[in-house]
Amino acid sequence: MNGFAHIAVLAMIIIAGFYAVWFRDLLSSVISLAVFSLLLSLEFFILQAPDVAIAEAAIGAGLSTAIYIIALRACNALKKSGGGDRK
Amino acid sequence: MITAMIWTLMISAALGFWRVIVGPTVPDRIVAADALSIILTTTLALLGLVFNNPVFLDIAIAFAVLAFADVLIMAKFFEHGELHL
Repeated sequence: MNGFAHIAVLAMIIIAGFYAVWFRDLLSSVISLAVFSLLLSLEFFILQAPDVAIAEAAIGAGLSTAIYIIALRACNALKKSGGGDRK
Repeated sequence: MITAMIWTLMISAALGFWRVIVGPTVPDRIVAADALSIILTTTLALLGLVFNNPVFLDIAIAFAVLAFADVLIMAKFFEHGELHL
């Protein structure tokens, strides 16, 4: 039971990492990266490392995704106002 | 019993993962990622039961809180309609 589930989680990690690079849409790429981080946390959990898993869940899946989305939104606002610099 | 539950959750996680990959629009991917995070939180709680260690439940709690904050920020991204990148 554990071996096949472990291999399935590893395969999903590889596919999520591939699609995080492959997507042209940046928001889809960030969502795929969030799924990658979530599955990586599950993988650390399966490998019986609870402290690493809790750090990965807090930083990787929570904070970095939020910061990427906020940065994406700020880039859009800058692009709309025409170029990089205000006035 | 717990093994069968984990298998069912892994199958539904694979279906949600498929929707994240092929979802035609971005909101499809956001909702699928949210469902996937809920499914994997449940899987974490069940695996804590399998490993018989209550420390593993803390990860599920932290993950549930942070996944909620993530989806909230993604929804705030769509608030002003700047969707098409």
